Amino acid sequence: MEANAAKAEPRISKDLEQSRHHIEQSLKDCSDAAYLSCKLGGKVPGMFVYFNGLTDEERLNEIRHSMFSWDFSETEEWLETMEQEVTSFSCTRIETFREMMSQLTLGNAVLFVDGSDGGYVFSLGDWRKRAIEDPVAESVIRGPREGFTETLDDNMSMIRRRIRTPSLKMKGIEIGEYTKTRIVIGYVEGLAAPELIAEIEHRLAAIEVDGILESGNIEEFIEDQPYSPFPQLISTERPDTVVAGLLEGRAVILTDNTPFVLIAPISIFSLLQSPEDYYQRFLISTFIRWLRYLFFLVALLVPSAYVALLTYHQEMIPSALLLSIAKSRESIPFPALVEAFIMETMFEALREAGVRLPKQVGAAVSIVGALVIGQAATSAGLVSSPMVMVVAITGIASFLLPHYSVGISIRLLRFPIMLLAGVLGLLGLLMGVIGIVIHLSGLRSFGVPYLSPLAPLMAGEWQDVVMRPPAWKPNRRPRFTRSGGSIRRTKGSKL
Amino acid sequence: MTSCWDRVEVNDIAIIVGAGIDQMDGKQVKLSAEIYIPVESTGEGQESGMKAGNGNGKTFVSSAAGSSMAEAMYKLQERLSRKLYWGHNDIFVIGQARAEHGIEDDLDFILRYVRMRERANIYIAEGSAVDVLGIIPRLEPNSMEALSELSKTEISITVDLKEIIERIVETPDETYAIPYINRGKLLTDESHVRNPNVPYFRGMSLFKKGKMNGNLNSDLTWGYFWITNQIKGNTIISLKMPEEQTLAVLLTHSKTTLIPSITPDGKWKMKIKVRGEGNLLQNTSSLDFMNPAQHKAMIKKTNEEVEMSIRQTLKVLQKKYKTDVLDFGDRFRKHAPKQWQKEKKNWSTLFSEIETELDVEINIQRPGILNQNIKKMNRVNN
Repeated sequence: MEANAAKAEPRISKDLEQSRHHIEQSLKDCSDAAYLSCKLGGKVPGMFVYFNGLTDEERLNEIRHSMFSWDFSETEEWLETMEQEVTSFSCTRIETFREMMSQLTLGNAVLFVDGSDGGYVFSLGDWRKRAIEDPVAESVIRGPREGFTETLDDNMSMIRRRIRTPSLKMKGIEIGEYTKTRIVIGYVEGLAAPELIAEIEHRLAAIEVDGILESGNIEEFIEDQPYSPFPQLISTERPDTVVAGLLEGRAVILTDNTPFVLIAPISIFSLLQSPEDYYQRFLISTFIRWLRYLFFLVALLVPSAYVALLTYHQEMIPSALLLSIAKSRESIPFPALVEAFIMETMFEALREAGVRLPKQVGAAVSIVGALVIGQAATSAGLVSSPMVMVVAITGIASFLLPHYSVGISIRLLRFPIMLLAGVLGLLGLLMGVIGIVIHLSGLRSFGVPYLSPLAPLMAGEWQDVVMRPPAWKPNRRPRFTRSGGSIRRTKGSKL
Repeated sequence: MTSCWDRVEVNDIAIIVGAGIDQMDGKQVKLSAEIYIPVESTGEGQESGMKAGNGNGKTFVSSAAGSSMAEAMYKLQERLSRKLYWGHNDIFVIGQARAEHGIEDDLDFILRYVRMRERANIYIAEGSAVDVLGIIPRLEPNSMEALSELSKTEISITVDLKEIIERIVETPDETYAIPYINRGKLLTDESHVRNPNVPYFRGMSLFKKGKMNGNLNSDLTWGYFWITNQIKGNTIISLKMPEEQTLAVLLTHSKTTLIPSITPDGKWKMKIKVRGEGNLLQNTSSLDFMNPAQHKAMIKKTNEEVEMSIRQTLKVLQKKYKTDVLDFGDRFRKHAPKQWQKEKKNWSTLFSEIETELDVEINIQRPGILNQNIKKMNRVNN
């Protein structure tokens, strides 16, 4: 494809009319393309090309007016003079129509001048964009309130503002046959392993698609194991999370037109951590982390354990509890497994409906939901009240996980384990858990073991998993970074 | 191995909350099971609360007889639409007639059958066991709860199947004691609110070689508890005082140690050392707690009371029943294993001849909130 383009790539001609003709041909049926003629120095005919809505037209008109008063003497060097004048507007010169197109789509205006075989690009990009807002999906109580937006440059500036050193590198590439989406790989030189950056670049370069609409499109292409239910990259819309990742020697992948930034490599414990863990005091954060680990297991196992106990191991339920469960289950026509499946499916459906519905209808869903999973379902004799409790606890537990992507994985895995528990009891449940652990042990995220630093055990690093160590404690960088496992701070840093 | 063909829903099981074993005519055994009826409480809870004991804790008793426990259970299952579920049965009540006939067969079945709990409590009922199962107590949801809660209080003890099997293995004559209960009055009707309830707990039944050979009444049972270190806190020692005086001590804790010894001339001796602490609970006697000399007298009286209780029990156990339910054998086994091996064949005779020595010290530490005797206080004021 590239060889082909190089051969037949049309260059900008000296004749303005010819250029104009060529541009009009290629931008045929593009009603948002605008052409603006001008007279440089009152004599030389020129033409601005730009897209409506992407370019600051007011500024463009100012430039056009000032051009009119340029003083060109009738010499041969008028072209040079003109180019010097133009440079004062921080212009770049382009030679081909292909370059012109990529500049136009960035919102820049291109000036063609009769007699010059180049185009002059004016950076006047100014399109409507969303303001920087609270990150919706990852809110914190204490921590920065700004979230990424759809504009790549704004996102980059948010990161740059936080890491004020030239070591922060942002490598740009384009992906997408038609969308030409701008992708930026960010990393801190000296922290990130060069092999990691090379690997990411290699994987990104291999992507051949028509378009990239969201970082999710990229994520699927560059994952180590696309069939795994677990996410192998974090997507976040929080600049502080991204910067924390950069400082840990990770690489980030920014995509234009989406506020979601990818971080790689990760382990499962990164998915169970919230940026706020590091903003609250360490005792509180440690407690919250344990709570999160506990509810991770609750979300995964409680419905299965309930089904297993109720259908195979009634001895394990305390006598008084069994009697009250027996009482509430007396009129339920379904086996416990079917009951659990009905309720869990209903819950998932409600959750999905709540996400998709417009905000005005959302209230209706929560009312109906409260009826479906609640009193009405129990009194209708469809499900027993202990099952309602189990489903509610599981639902709450899955929302406790700070990253939506891992919460949804857990919710998905719950169903096969429930089936196993319904078929083989606790034995099945255990088989399911063992299966998951085996899978996780084999999983890698850009070559980093998914269960690290617990398996393989990395002394010094697991502290940040089991608890949240105090900030003044000596703290090691993750082993996969360039300076593998070096101590970040010494004991002396705490007065 | 479990799998979906072994699946048992809670709706398909008859949860047994208590079982009774009775002797029938002609070597037959009757197995009774108290089965929970899972009736859903209708309404929103508040309305159903009107009839106490309804809905919650409804049970019924079903019985079947057979030549053995296994057959009786099979027959019992025939009469029920749901599968008998023994996993939550915490109570076995054995009728007196069955206990006198011998319970080894039943124990074999209960301990062998995988579904049974080996930590289930066991009781001997005065009369027939099936009558105990029918009781709906006023305080607890069913008789199982009532009995197991009763066993936790200071007036009774818990004996479970595991302890019995340990005793059978460890004692030469298979001697053990099981709580002896009375079925009480059948208080199933709501009109019986003010009727006195007959105490359930009646003492301990003594077993020797799988057969019940006697009872200790409530008073003798105190002695048994003292010797075997099973006195619980909150026990009240009421002293026998002259005239219309009362003196009662509330025990806070106590410890009994058995110290065996064999004298060089071959006499087996057992020293029973009791140490305890208590507070004054009631005192209308002439003794003043605040007077050191009288305080000592008070303690002396208490010790004498406990000693007397222990002596009575020892006398009955050693001379009348010749049954060692006191763990004496085990102490001697640990103290002198060689002599024990020689003597254990005729342990029952030896047990009845063991000399015992008592060393009781119960300290009364606090007088309670009232320092002085009320009568004395009057005298001071007037």
